[in-house]
Amino acid sequence: MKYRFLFTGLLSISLLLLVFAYIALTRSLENDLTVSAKQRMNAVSMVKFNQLGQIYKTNHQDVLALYQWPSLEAQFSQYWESRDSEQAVVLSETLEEFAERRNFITIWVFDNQQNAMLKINPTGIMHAENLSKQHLVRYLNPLLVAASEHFQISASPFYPTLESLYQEGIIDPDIINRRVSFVVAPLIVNEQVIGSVAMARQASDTGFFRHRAMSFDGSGHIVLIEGGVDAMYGLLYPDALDGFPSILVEPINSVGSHWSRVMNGGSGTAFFDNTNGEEVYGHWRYVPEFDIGVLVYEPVSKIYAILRQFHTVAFFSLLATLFIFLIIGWGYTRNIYTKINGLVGRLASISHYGDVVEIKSSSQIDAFGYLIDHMESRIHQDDDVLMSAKQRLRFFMKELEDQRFAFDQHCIIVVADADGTFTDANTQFSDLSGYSRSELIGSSFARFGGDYQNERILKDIFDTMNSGKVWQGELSLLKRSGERYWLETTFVPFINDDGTLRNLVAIHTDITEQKLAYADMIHQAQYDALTGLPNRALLLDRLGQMLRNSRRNQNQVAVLFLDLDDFKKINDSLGHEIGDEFLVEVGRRLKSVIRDQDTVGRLGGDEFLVLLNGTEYKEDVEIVASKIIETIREPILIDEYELVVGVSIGISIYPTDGETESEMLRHADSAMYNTKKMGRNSWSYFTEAMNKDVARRLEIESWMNGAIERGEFSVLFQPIVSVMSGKFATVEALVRWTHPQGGNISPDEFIPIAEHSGYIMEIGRFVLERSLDLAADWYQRYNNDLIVALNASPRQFRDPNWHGGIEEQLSIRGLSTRNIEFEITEGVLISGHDNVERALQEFSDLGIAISMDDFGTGYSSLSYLRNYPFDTLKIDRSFVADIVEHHGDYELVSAAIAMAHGLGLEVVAEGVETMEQYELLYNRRCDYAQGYLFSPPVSGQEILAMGGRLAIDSHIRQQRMSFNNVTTS
Amino acid sequence: MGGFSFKHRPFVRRLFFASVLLMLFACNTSDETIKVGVLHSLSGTMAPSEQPVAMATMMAIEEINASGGLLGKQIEPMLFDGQSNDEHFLRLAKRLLIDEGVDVVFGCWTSSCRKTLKPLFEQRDNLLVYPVQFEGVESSDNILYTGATASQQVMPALAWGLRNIGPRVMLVGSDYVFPHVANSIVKHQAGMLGGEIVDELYYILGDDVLRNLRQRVNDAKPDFILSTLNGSSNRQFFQLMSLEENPTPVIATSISEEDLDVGNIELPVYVANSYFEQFSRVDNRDFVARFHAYAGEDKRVSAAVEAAYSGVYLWAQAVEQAHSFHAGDVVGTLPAHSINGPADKLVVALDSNHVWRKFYLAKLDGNQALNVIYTAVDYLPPTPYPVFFSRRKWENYLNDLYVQWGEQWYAPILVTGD
Repeated sequence: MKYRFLFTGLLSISLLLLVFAYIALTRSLENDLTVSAKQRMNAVSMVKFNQLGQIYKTNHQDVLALYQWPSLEAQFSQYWESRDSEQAVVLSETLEEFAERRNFITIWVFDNQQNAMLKINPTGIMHAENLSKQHLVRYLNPLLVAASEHFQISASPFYPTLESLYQEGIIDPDIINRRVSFVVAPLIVNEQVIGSVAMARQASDTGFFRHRAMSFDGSGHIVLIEGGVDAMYGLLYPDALDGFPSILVEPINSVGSHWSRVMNGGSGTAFFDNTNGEEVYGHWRYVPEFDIGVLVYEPVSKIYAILRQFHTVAFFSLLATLFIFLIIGWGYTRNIYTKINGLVGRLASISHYGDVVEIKSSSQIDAFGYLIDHMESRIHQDDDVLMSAKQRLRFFMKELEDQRFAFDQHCIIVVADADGTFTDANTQFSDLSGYSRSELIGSSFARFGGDYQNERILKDIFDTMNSGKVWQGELSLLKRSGERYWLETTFVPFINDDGTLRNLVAIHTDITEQKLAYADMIHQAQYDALTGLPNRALLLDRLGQMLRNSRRNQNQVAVLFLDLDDFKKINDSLGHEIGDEFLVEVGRRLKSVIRDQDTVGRLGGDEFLVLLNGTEYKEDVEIVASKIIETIREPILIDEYELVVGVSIGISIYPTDGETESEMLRHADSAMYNTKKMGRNSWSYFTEAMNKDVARRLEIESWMNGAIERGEFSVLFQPIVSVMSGKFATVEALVRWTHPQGGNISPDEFIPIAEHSGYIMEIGRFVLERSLDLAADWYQRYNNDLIVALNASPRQFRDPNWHGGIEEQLSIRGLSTRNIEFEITEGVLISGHDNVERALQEFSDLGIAISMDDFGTGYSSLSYLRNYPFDTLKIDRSFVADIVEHHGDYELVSAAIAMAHGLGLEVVAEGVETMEQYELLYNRRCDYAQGYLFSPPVSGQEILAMGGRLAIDSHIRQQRMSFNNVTTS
Repeated sequence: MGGFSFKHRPFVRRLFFASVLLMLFACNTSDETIKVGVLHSLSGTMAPSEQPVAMATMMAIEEINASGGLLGKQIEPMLFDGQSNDEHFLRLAKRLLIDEGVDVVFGCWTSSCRKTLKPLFEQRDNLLVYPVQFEGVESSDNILYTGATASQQVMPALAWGLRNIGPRVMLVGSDYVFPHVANSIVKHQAGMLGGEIVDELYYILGDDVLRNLRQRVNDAKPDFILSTLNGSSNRQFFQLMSLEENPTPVIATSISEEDLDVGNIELPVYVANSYFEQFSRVDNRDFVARFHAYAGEDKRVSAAVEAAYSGVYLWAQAVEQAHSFHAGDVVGTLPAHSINGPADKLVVALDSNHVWRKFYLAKLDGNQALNVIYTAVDYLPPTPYPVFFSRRKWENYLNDLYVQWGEQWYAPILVTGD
C-alpha cells in the first residue's frame, strides 16, 4: 500500500506524456492522410487532363493531315472559284473519305465571312442533326474568326452544351457520352486563308464521358463544369455504375461558390463544401482549350476514415492499458495479467482492420493512444476510476461482442488454422465466392485460385502471420464461376502463449467495382494512342515497380533507350501517315523480341523504351539489344514503300547506373546519344564518364573565358622538314593551354568545347597573330619567308570577316599570303557548309595554300582531294608509326604518296620518330616530314634560333648518303 | 523495490517511448529554406526595363514566404545582375545552377538572352521562368513562358489594324530577333488577309537618329505603321512622326509606358498588349498598389512585371502539386497549371509551356493616358509556331538569321536598314 501514492504519481505523469504523444501522432497521421489524398486527387485530375490533352493533340495532327490530304487543296481551290455543284460533289467525296479515316462524324466548311459553304455528315449519327445552322455558327463563331484571322487551331467546348441539355431536360448517359468536340482550323489554299473548317468527333471515341471514367475509389467523383449564359453547369455521375448522371446548376459569380473558383482559373487542392453541403476535399483545374473545369473530390469522411478507426482502436487500447496498470497496481496475480494482456492483444488485432499497419505492429503505440481519450476524466476522478474498473471490464466485453457482430454483418471474414485450412467463413464470403459454407470449411487457400495460388504471396502472408504481425494488401481471386474479383484484405494472427501461430482471421472488403473502374480509366491515360504501347507515364511507373522489386530481390534492371536513326526523313518525305504506320510496325516488332516480364513503350516521337526486368548478366541485355537492332533493320513495307531505318540504343543498368527512375532514364538517354555519336545502329552502356564529361565540359568552358587575356594560352611551333634537304621553311602552329588549377589541358579536350562555345574564334585570332609575329621576326632576321601552317576550325568558315581579318593582320606586318597556309581536316569538309567551299576557293584565289590534315583517319574520300583546291596532303601519324613493322601500312603510305603526286599534291608525313621511318619515307619520295625525330613543338624564340637548320641536320645528311648508297646499289 | 520495478517495466518502456516520440515531433517543425535564382539586368541598357521585373519577382516570393512559404519551406531568392550582357547572364546562370544548386531561375528580358541560356537549362533539366512578350517560334520543356507570343499580340494587332484602319501597312522595328521574326509572321498574315506590306525598316537597338524615317514613310504612304521598335528609339520615333501634317496612325507592340512620355503630340498611337496597368479589376488595383508600395510610386507596371509576378505563383503551384522542388519533377507537369492572375487568369497550354493570354488594344489620349478600346472576347492560345509554316521551316528561318548575324541574336552594328 505504501507504493500506491508513488504509483498514482507515475501514472499521472505518464498519462500526461501520452496525451502529448497522442496529439502529435494524430496530427501527423492527419497530415499524412491529407498529403496522400492530395496526391490521389491530383493523379485522378491528371488522368482526365491527359485525356483532354490527347484529344487536343490528335486534333492538331488531324488538321495537319487535312492540309496534306491528296488533291484536297486543289479541290477546295476549284470549288471556291467556281462554286459549281459538281465541284462540290467531288470535294464532299474527298472530305467524306477523310472524315471516315480520321473518325470525324461531320465536317463543316466556312468562308472568311463565316458563311457555311459545305457540310458533310457521312455517318448520319450526328445526333444533333437538329442543330440548326445559325445555332452552330453562333456556337463556333469566335473560333471561326480566330481561325481565319489569327490562323488559330482550336477545340470547341463539347456540344451539345450542358446548358442546352439541362434546358431540354436530357440527361441520357448515352447522349452525354456521344457529345462532340469540334476542331476548328483555318483553311489554307495556295498560302491564302480562304475560310475555316470545323470537324466534329464524338467523345465516345475517347471514353472521356464514360461513367467508369467519371468516378473513382467508390466515393470519389469527377465533376465537369461548363459555363453558360448566366449559370454554370456541372455534370455529375452517381456512385453506382448503372445510375443516370445529373446536371447541377449554380449561378455565375455566386458568392463563395467553389465552381466560380474553378472556372476563374487557378488550379489547386483544398477543402470545400460541395453543392449539397457535404464537406469534401478535392482538386480542380480549368482547361481553356475546351472551356471546361475539372473538379475531382472525395468526401472528407472517407479521407479520414482511417483516422476514425485509429480513434476507436485508441480508445479501447487506452482502457485495456489502464486495466493493466490498475491490476498490477492492486497486486493481482501475474496469471490474470497475462490473460488480460492476451485479451487486449486479440482485441487490438480485431479492431485493427484499418490501414495503420505500423501502429498495429507495435502494441506500445496502441496502448499510448488508447490511454489518451479518457485521460482527462481520469485525472479528475482518479479514485472513481479505480473503483469502477470491474464495471468497465464488463462493458468492454460487451462492446467486443457487439463489434464482432457488426464485423460479421459488414465484412467478409474467413478464419483459418495455422496450416492454412479454413475453419470458418461467414456467409458474406460464401455468397461472394460462390462456394457453400460447408465446402469452404476444411478447404485450403489454393481452392480460390488467383493470388491464393501464388506461392510467393501465400508465403509472404504466412511469414507475416508467424511473426505475429498484421498483413494487408489487395488480392484478386477467382469465383467458382471463374470470374475474377478483388478484395482488400487484412490478415490478423492469433498467437498461442508460446508465441506460435494458433489461427488467423482474414477480413476482406470487396473492391471489385472500384478496381474495374479505376483500371479502365488508368488504361486510357497510360497507353500511347498510336501504338497502343505504354506511354511515358506508365513506363516510369513500371520502371519504378521494377526498381523496387529489384531492390528486394537483389537483381538488376536494364533500361534500353531507343531512338530511330533517320526516322525524320520518312516523316518529312512521305508524310505523317506513313510515319505513323511505320511507328506502329516498329512497336509491334519490339514487342515480339522481348520476354513477357519485360516492358516496351513509346516515349514520344521516334523514341521507345525497353525495360528488362530481373536480368542477371550483361550478356542477356546485349542479346536483347542485338535482337532489337536486327528486327528493326529488316525492311518495313508500307504501301509501295520499302523502308529501312536503324536504331541507336543506350543502356543503363540498375543499380550500378542510377537510383531513381528519372536518373535511369536520363542516363540511358545519354548512352543513346553516345551511340549516335559513335556511329548509330548499335548500342552502348551508360558510363559515369558521360556524366563527368558534361561536368568537365562546363568546367572547361568556364575556365576558358578570358584565358587569353590572362596569358594562359601559348603557341608552339613544330618544323615541317624537307625530306630531301633536311631543312625547314614551314612550321605548324600548335596552341597550348595551361590553366592555374586545371594544369595543361589538351587541345583534343578544349578545342571541341571552344568550337561549341564560339571561343575558338578568339583562339584562332590569337594563334594567327602569334604566328604572324614569328613570321615577321623571321623575315627581319633572315630576310626570307617562314611559312606558318594553321589549323582551321569549322566555325571560322562561317565567319564572313575571316578573310578580311587575315589580310589585315598580314598587311600590318608587311607579310604576304605566302606566309600562311591552312590545314583542314575532313571533318570540316563533311560539316558540309556551303561556306566551306566558298572559303577554300577564296583562299586559293588569295594565294593561301591549303593542306588536307590527318589524311587516312576520316572518310578519306578522294573526291575531296579532287574537288577542293588542296596543295598538300598530310598523312596521319597513325599510319606513319607502323610503316617499319607493318608492311600493310608501308604499302598504304606508299600508295598515298604516289596518289598525291599523281594529283599534283605535295605530301607531309606526320609523327616521324625514327631514322628507319625517315629512310622509308625518303625512299618513297615523300616531300616533307614532321615529328620528334627532327624537333618537338618549341617556342617561337627557339624556331628563330634554329634558323631553318636542325641539330639533327648533319646526322640526317650523313644517313642520307647511306640511304642513297643502299638504293643505288 | 526490486519487485516493483520488475512489474512496471512495460510502463517504464512506454514512458521512454513517449518521450522519444515527443522529441521526434519537436524536431520535425524546424524551418528550412529553398534557394531560387532571380537573374535580371540591374545595370546597363536593359536595367530600366528589367529592374521592375526583378522587383515584381522578389515581391511575389516575399508574399509567398509571408503566407507560410512553400511545402513548409521559406523561399530564398538569390538575385544576380546580368549587366545587360548575354555572356554574363550565361556565367551567372551556370553559377546559380551548378554552384548554388538552384532548380529554378526567374530571369531574362531579351530573346537573345533567353536563347543564350536555353541550351544550359535543357542540358541540366532545370527550369527558366521567362516573363516577357516575345516572338514565339520556340518551345522548350525547360522554359515556362509567361508573356504573350506573337500570335497573342502582334498577329491580333495586325488583324485589328487591317480591319479598322486600312490595308497598307508599313513595318518599322529594331534590328534583332524579335522584330524580324514577328514581321516575317506578319508579312504572311497580311498576305493572307488581303493586306499589303508597303515598306519594312529596321534600326539598330538604341538608335536615336532614325535616319530616313520620314522620307520612307512619305514614299510608302501606309495606312498605318506596325512598330516593333524597342527601348529609347520609340521617343524619337513618335516625335518625328508627329511632325507630319497628317500623321500616320501607329500600332506599337514593344513599348513601355516610359517611352510614351513624349509631351503633347498629335499622333494616333495604339498600343497592343496583354496587360495594362490601368485595368480596373479590384485584384489588379490591389496588385498595382502593392507593387508601388514595394518598388516605388514611380515604377510603371508593365505587362512583363505582371507576367513575372504571375510566373512565380505558377511555379509555386506546380511545386506544390508535384510536392517537390526538384525541377525534374516539375518540368513535365507545367501544362494546365493555372492561377487567377491580377488581371486575367493565366493558364499554361495543354501542349506547351506557354500561357493563354487575352489581347487588348489601347489608344493614347490627349492627356498621355492609355484607354483600352478593344478587347478580344476570348483568351488566345499561345500557338508558338503559326501554322502556315512547318515547325522545321520556322527553325531554319531562325537559324539563318543567327548565322547571318555572325552567331548572335541581334544584327551587328555595321548593318543599317536601307
